[in-house]
Amino acid sequence: MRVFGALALAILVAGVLPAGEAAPPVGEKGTRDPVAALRIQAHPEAPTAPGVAGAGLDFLRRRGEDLPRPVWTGQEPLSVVVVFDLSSSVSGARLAAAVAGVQALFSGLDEEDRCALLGFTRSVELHAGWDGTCGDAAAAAGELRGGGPAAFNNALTLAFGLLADAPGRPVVVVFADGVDGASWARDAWPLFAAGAVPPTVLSVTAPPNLTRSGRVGGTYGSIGADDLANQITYEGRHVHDADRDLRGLRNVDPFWVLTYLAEISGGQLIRTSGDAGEIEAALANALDALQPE
Amino acid sequence: MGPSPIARIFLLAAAVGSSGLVEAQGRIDSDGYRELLNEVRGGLFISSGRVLAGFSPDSVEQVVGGFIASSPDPRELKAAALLHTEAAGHGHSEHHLQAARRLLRALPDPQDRTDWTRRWWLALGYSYQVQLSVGSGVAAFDGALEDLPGDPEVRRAFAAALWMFGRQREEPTYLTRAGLLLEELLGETPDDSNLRIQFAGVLLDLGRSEDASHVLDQLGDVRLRSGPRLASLLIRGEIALGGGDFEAAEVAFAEAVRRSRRSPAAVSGLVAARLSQGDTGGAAEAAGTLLARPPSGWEPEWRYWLGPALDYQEMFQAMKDEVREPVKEGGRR
Repeated sequence: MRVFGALALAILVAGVLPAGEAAPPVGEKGTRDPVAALRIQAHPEAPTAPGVAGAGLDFLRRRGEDLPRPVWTGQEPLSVVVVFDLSSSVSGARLAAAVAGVQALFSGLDEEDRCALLGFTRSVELHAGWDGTCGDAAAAAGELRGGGPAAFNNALTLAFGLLADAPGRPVVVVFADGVDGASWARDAWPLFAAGAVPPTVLSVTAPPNLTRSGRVGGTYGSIGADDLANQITYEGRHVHDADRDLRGLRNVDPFWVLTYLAEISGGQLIRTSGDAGEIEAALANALDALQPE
Repeated sequence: MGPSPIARIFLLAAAVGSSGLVEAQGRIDSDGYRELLNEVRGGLFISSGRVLAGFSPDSVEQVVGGFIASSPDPRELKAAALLHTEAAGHGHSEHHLQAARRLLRALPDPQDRTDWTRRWWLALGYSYQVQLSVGSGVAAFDGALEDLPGDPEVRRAFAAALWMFGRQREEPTYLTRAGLLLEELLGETPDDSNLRIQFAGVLLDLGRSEDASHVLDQLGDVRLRSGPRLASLLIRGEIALGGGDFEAAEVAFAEAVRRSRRSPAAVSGLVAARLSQGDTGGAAEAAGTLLARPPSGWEPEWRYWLGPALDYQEMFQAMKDEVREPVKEGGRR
């Protein structure tokens, strides 16, 4: 049997594995009856509970009315954290365009505004912190280099932490082009982190890069062009479907969390086509979406 | 477009020798094959592999068949298997990996055959795991189980990889397979704490928080090493977060941070738990402390997740060292 190139085999094998037996009673406390009561089903049905991802969304929905929603006049100084995807797929013209856009964004800020730049691959690194100027952050953006998988959930959650007690109006500007492939933190963790004063979340995304075979390379390797087109046009309809099982939603829309965060924070999500000029302009003008409420 | 995942794996492998050989074309014959094997025995794995990858797959298949039929000694079979493994990084990867497998199957001593087959498959599967090459990784471990049915070490490695792949992709098929393997392994070694923690993680990722919690409770007061301890705290924190018990989540994540200060997962969890309760100062302090240090090396959760897979290059190198000709004093080889 050919082993390599036979990913489908793995799925088939899983499909013919025997289904779990009926659960026997749980052993007495303290015994090491390991798992007999917890038989795994070979074909798990979608759980009625929405899982941890859904719990994050439920949490925010429940808190919907209670979420603190400061009224911004447009005169407050800004505290801006740019969360920048430096994974392997962001390279060449795409990287240069995003860097140029972010530099323009930082350069357009006033002296009283504060800037920070958080880059992420598998690691999350603060390339410019609160102790520098926005000019320093713009300069730091010019030094960004890509490579590796993307710990997006870690980065976004940490950005919320960084902004948690920042003065003025807290703003997160996100640039990303794919699904998280390197965080322990799940998609829901940033949603829980948005449970305090949510910063305004302004996101610019690009679709994952397709390889010559017409599929997405890297960790997120199972998406074809049709699915990708579907992602781009999906526009976040899922977040309003309270009955939807959210596990695996990233496989439908890698940006579903950003969709929701934009909505609850009064922010914006711009899904670019991946064109370099479009990315640059969207990032450079991202703060234009900050309208006084 | 960059090199393929497997090419990247082997480009990363320690290189010995020159790259001056010109890439070959066309068909290889037995003399040419022997010549490449001699180069490999001298340590020129990478350049020899690149040359072999340039020949047509059917001529390679033919020459491998003839080589095996000539009853070479075990060391030559192993060297040839490693040559094909190297070639797989440069082209016709499926053909070359199948050839390597065929060569190892020809090892005459059953114990030696099992040992080398296990080491080869594990190093290969681990390399894919480290590179996050999910499809190839699953296929490699499947191949390992096919050649070594029931092997505990392979099953443990496969279960760990499946959990990692399944969690990253939120892919129930991988998670279910991981769960089945872990359940089986726990039936054999119920006191294995790490298996229990992995099983709890799989259950949580399958949306079975209560079962995950129950499995972790069975650990009792057992003393855990740093990696499994971090994992158990992260799982507990996530169970609490999902259940809306933010205080319990904070306790678990804070403990994880105390023990693994450089863990982005632990700090992210703590930030999420604190912000869920409106503790902005505590969240800012946690995030700021982590981000004040530039990242270095593998994050603690990745070291746990990958475990023995991080040694795959050393595993390949050890196999190469075993098949090389001993270096003669004062001579090149």
